[in-house]
Formats: sequence, structure tokens, C-alpha cells
Amino acid sequence: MPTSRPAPFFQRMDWLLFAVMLALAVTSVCFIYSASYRGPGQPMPAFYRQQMIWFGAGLAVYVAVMAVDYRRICQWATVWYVLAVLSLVLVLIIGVQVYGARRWLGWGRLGIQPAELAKLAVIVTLAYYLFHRTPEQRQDWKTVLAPMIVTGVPLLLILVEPDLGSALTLVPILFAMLFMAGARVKHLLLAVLLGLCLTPVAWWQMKTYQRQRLAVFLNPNRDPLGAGWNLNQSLIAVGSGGVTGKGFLQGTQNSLGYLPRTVAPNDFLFSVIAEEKGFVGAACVVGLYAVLLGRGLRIAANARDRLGMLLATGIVAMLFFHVFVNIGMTIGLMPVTGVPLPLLSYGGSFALVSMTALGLLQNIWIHRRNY
Amino acid sequence: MITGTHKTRALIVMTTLSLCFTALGGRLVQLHVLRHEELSGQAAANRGLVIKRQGRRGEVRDCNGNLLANSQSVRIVCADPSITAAHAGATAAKLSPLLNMDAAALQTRLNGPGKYVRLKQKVDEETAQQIRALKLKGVFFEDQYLRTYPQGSLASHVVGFVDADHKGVQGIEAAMEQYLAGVAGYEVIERDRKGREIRALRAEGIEPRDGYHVVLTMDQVIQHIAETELEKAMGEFRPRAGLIIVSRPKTGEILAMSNRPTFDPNNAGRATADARRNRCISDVAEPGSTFKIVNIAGALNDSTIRLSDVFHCENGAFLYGGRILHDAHPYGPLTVEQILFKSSNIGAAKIALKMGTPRLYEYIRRFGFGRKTGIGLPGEVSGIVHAPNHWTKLSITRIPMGHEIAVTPIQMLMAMNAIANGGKLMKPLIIKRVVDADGRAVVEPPPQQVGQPISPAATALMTTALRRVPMPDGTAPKAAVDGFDAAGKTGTAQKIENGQYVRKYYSSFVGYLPSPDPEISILVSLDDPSGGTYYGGSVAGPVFRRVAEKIVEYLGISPQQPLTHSRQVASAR
Repeated sequence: MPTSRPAPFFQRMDWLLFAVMLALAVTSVCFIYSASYRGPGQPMPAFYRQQMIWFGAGLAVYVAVMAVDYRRICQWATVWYVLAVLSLVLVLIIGVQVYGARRWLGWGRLGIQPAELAKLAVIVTLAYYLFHRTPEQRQDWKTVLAPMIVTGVPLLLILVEPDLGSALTLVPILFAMLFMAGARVKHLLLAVLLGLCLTPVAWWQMKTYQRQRLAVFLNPNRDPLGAGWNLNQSLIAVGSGGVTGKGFLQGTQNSLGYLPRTVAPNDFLFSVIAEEKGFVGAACVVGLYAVLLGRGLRIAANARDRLGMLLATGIVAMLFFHVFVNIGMTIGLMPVTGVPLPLLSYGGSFALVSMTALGLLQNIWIHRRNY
Repeated sequence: MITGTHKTRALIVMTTLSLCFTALGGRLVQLHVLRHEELSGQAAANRGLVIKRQGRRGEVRDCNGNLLANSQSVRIVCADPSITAAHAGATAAKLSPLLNMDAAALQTRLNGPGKYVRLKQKVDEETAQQIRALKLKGVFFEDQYLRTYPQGSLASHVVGFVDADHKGVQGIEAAMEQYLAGVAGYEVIERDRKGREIRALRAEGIEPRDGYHVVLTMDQVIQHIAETELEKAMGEFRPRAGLIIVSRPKTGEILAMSNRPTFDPNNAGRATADARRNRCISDVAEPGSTFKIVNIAGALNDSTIRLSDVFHCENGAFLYGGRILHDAHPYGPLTVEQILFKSSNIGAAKIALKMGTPRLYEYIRRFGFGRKTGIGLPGEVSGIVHAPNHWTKLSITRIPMGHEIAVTPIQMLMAMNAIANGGKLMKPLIIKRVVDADGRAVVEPPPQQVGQPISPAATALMTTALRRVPMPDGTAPKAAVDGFDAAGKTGTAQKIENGQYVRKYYSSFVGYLPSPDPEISILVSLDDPSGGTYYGGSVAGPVFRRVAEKIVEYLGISPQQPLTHSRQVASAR
């Protein structure tokens, strides 16, 4: 559809992708409400209202990101990257300590997690870097090494916080982008091998709770009242939901606190949905993510240039990792790591990051090949 | 830009994503559909605890509403060790002083396996509140009722007691078990992760129904009078055992039933079986002379004799069937009336001989002997009445004086009541009514006539004679009730030990007043009184008098004659 003048971006955007995003956001608010509901007459925590505010802010960022050409944004990649690394350093120094980890910058509820923002910065930086490699350079092992370093610095900083989940998110982003950038499989396998060699070191470096979580993943009944509690209760919540669920606000696992109130609205929100809306509700959520990621892949495939393609790949990789690890965790397919569910879990930083990422995807789509 | 390699790689990425999503979907099917029941069960087990809830056991009250047996609400302190194990030490330390239990022992139980353990029973509400205020995780309460008997041993043989499971084992408690017990319910308690009960989510369950209350015909005051006088007699005559029954002749209502030895139902476990036995219904003994009322009433009823008929009493020694029958005092010719109020064995035997075996046996049965009165208390026995074909030649001379026959005190009293009541034999009545929690009567047994052994005319004759028993020339002048015409009969039955008559006696008196329209009847029986005298008239007679005088005063029954001076003074006090 050749036109002399590009149509306004809202005509060119992927409305289905937008609709899926909104659907997930609405679901999020509803079930954060349910997850913090404690029964009639009990005070209602403000989590769901807080999340609505975050979604509002996210939507503004979403529109803003859509409006500026992604190529412009990526030109600032170095700046984003440096800012991200600086904030990660800063959080280690002046970050708010919560449960022994320094992950938060800011005050009270308005805090943000630099680790979440770093994910986007890494994606943009990698895309920008790989975009500028010539086809020959791309075959070079140095083209694998440099992105590993680029990813490695924030990854290590995040590990120090510590935030294993967020740190690990960077790995699939790196590999997916390298893979789609055309890096040689041999080099990638070497990198994987290197990573595996570092695993014992990682185990040794792990905090006790992290080791426990992994051990529990391998055997959930190891410590059913301690470390295995969340996983077991989550499985019970999901399974007891049945096909159609117990009904909104009727989830006993959740409302009675068996699914701990500290994790139900964020990391285990999927369990709440699965308990109250059953298989139908859970499948709908998984389906929405499938559509979302499918649209992401479509956008990658239809990107105007390799920059857009790589950017979209990185975003899809990040979102996919979060979706798979989080849902996988709640249903016992993945170890327990605090990886939030994009657009659903309670939490501002990742909601902002998710919507920014989706805004970038829209941006790439708006500027796709045929336009 | 898009090369072949790139397409392959895009395909690989897409395939990876698809596979991962398939895995998620598959796992969801597994959990939601295939393992649904198993995990639902776990979800239910997580929070559900089925607790049996006992309905409150009904009360037992006397006819004026005084509480005789009550169920007091107490608590059982329970714990869920799967929750308390984590901090058993601290919890035990806090509970130990309140429960008055050893902290180490408590800690062991708080650390035990399972999800339910009882820490202590019968904890009063106040202590329970203090424990509740500690907000101990995994510690919860169950309702329990404690059976208490506010009047202690008063009427304990009638009221009975309950076992550890709150089940009646004696007396009214056992007899009215089905009414008193109520219906147990259960509740499914939902508990949150901390083991706290979530009342808002209380689900299915059945509310227990409280037991019905039983109101007795007994009167606490009359019972108290009987108990006090019996206690006094126990001290005075030192018998092995004693009993007093008070009833209303017209209805058969039992107003008091007192036994010695006695027991405190609050501590029934400590009492001996002997002390717990309700002798009034469970013990049989040869009644002695009180039984003379049966054959003489029968003979009068058959018009075989008249009150004025004279029988020669053989000066105290009557040879019959090769054996000599003695009287306590030798008498010559006596009228029937005299035979009765002077209690001549020989006279009674001669009357029996005149009426014959079949008639005598007929009247024994008609007066209710040989079968249970149906008082409705557990442990009642029917007594021993041999059929005439088992009688020896001597039997017809011995049975009229209350030998060769065994009766229960309640049978004797009911027989006397028939004479007091125009010949109507009433069934003893002890349950006035059974009421539900709202006070509505569920059961209200009416007085029940079970026979008419003799005519009203015969009873009038009997009363004429029996009224002379408490008079100076009767056997029981000490039974005379000041201001009233009382009728009664003494009994002094020799006890049998190892098949031989021994020099031990049952001393009894059974009578009624005011004659001829009696309001109350009283039976007093003392087993083996010591201290010289053992005659019914001098041992049981005064007890009868004291009990009667107090009861008529309490009931406000107008005296038939002016009271003597001493009595008036006592009254005024």
C-alpha cells in the first residue's frame, strides 16, 4: 500500500497486540485485587489501585515510545546502557534493602528496580551493536564475545544485588539476539559450554535460599513447610481450581494465606488466576501470551531493518523468558525464582518495562517494511 | 536482509516458543484436569478440620425448677503440631503456667506428629480467654461440657451421674439418656495458614441440638428433709444402710428418694458400688410386718373377714404345720383391727388361712409385688414372689408377716399408696416432664393407675385400723404426727444371712397422712439398726414422724387437730 505520506501511527499500529496488552492489564488489576482480598469486612490493601497507576504511567510511556522512531531511540543506545549500568551501581550503594537484597532505587512505593530497566538497555544496546556488524564480522567470534561482555557487566551487577531471576533474564536475550543476528552456532555452543563451566562457581556463589529453591524444584516435598511451601501450595492452588475454577475471590488457597500473601499478587498471581478461574482462565492467559509473543515474532519478521528485527527478537526473548519461567514456576516446571509475569504481576518497574517494550514493538511494526 | 539461514533460525525460534507453550498447556491440563481431585483434596486438607460438636446435655431439675444436674461449658485446649512444632518451646513455656502442666511434657506434645492433639480438657472459660489472648499459632479450642451436680449428694441415687464420655450411667442420667444427650453435630473449620480459624468461611457442618431438660416430680426441699432426717437416724441408730421414700399417694409422684450410704455424683468414681446403689428400687428384702396390709386388705376386700372379727392369737405361740409361730407380745383374742395395729403374726396367719392360698397369692400380685413398678430408673428389680405351687405348708402363715417373700421398698410404698388412695394402685412417677430448650414440654407423663387391688370400702376399713398404729396402743406411738391423723404400718423383719435368720433386722415404717385424704406417704427403712432397739415402731417410726412433720409444714397442709404446745413453739420458730 504505497502512499506518499505515511498514515498516522495509530492507523498503522498492531491493534491486536494493543488489545492483548490491555486485556492482560485489566486481568492483572482484577486478580491483584483478588490476591490481596482477605474476606468480607477485611481491609482491602491498595495493591490493585497502585497497579492501575503504574499501568496508567506505562500507557503514557507506551504512546511516547511509539511516537519516536525506534532507530532514533537506538542511536542513544550507549547512553541508555551507561545510564543503566550507573543505576545498577547506584542501587548497590544507596538502594533500599528489602529482605536482604538491594534492588530498589527511590522512596517507598515509588521505587524502581534498575535491574528491570537494564534489561531494556541491554536489548537496545545489543541490537544497536549487532546491527552495525558487517556480515563478515557477524561470523567472527569477537562478535559473540563483545555482546557477552555488554550483557555480562549488568548481569554481574544484578547478581550482586542479588536478583538471580532478573540476571538470568539477560541470558536468553543475549543468545536469542546473537542467534538471530547470525552468529555461528559453534560460537554460541562454546559460550553455552563456558556458562556451564561457571555453574559450579555460580552454585558456590549462591545464597542459601537460592540453593534451597533449586533443591526444592528438584524435589518439592523436601521441605514442604519451608522452602517447598510456596511451590506446593501453588500446585495445590492450580490443581484445586479444576476446569472452571472456584470463582472470583473464592480461591481458598489464596485468601486463607496458604499461598503466601507476600507472593500471591506478584510472583504467584498466575496461581491465583488458575485457582479461581481454573483451566479455562489459565489457558486464556497462556493464550493471550501466545498471541502477544506470536505478534512479536511477526513484527520481528516484518521489521524494516535488522535493527528492528534484533530489537523485536530481544523483546520477545525477554517477555517469553518471563512468561515461561514465571508460569513454569507456579506449575512446577521451573525452579522458584522471582521473575514477574509481564503485565500481570504486581510491580511497577516491570510493568513500565513491559509496556515500554511493547511500545517498541509497536514502533517497529509502525515502521515496518511496507511503510 | 532476510537470508535462508535467517529463515531457518526464525523457524527454530518459533518452534522453541511453540514447544514451550505446549509444555505449559500440557502441564496445566495435567494439574487442572488430571490431578484435580488429588490437589483439591490437599487444598481441603490444608484448611479443613472436622470437629465434633457436642450438644449441651440437658439439665435435671426438681419440680420447682431447682437445678440438680447441670452442664457447664468448658474448653478443650487443642493444638495442631504441624504448626506448633516450629515454636513448640516458646508456646509450651507460655501455656505451661496457664494450663498448670509441665512445660517439657507440653513441648513434646506440641512437637508431635499429626495435625490434632488435645493438650488439656475441662479448661474453664476464663483460662481459655487468657490463652486466646496470647494468640499462639496453631493452638485452638473445642467446646466441652462439664456435668455438675450443684446439690452434691442430694438425691444422687435418683439423678445418677455420667461417665467420662458424658453418657449417663445411673439414675435419671441413664434412664433419660436419649432425651438429655441431645444430638451431636460437627463442623468443618477452615483454617488459614497460621492455623487460625476462619469463621467467615465456615462451610458445611451440622449444628448440634442441645439435650432436653428433665423435670422431676421430686421436690428438693422434701428431698432435703428426707436426707437430713435419714442422716440423723443413721447417727442415732447406726444402721448399715437406710432409705426414705416420699410420694404422693394419689398420683404416685415420688417427692423424695434418699439412700444411705450415699455418694457425690460430682465424684462418682470415688464412691463404692454399694454407696451408689439405689436401694429403694434395687434391693429386695423380706418386708416384715408391713406386708400384713396385703393379706388383711385382701381378706377385708373379699369380705372374708370384718374389722370386728376376733381371732385368738394363741398367747404368742401358734403351732401350725409342726412349727411354732411367735408373736412379739403374747395376745389372746384380738379383732382384725387389733391384729393390724398391734401387728400380731399369729392373727395375720390365721386370717390368711381363712382366705386361702389362691386369694393370698392373688392379692400379693394385685398389689404389684413380684413385678417392677416401672418407676423408670435403671436397676429396678421385681422382687421375689414364689408361685403357690412352690409354697410349703408353712408359707401361708409366713408370707402374711412378710417372710418367704422379697420386695423392694418402692413396691411396698406403692402398695401402701393403693390403700391410701381408695384402692388405686399407681405407677410411681418420677419424671414430671421433659422440656426442650425453649421450655416446651416434649414429654409429660400423666399419673397412671395400674390396678385396683381392693375396693374403696376395703381401704376405708384398712385406714381405720392403720390409723391406730401410731397411737399409744399401736406398735408405733413414736410415729404419731402432731396435729395429724397418720396411718401406717411398722415392719421388723429378721434378716437372713447364709440361709439362716440372724439377730439382725430391717426396721421399717410405711405410712401416709393426713388420713383419710392423704397428701403424702413416707416409707422409712433402716437396715440393721444397732443400739438396743430394732423394732420398726421405735426405730423407723420416729423418723417417719419427723419427716412427716416437716413436710406437712413445708407443704402447708393444715393440721387436723390443734398442735400441742411444743409443736407450736417449734412451728413458730
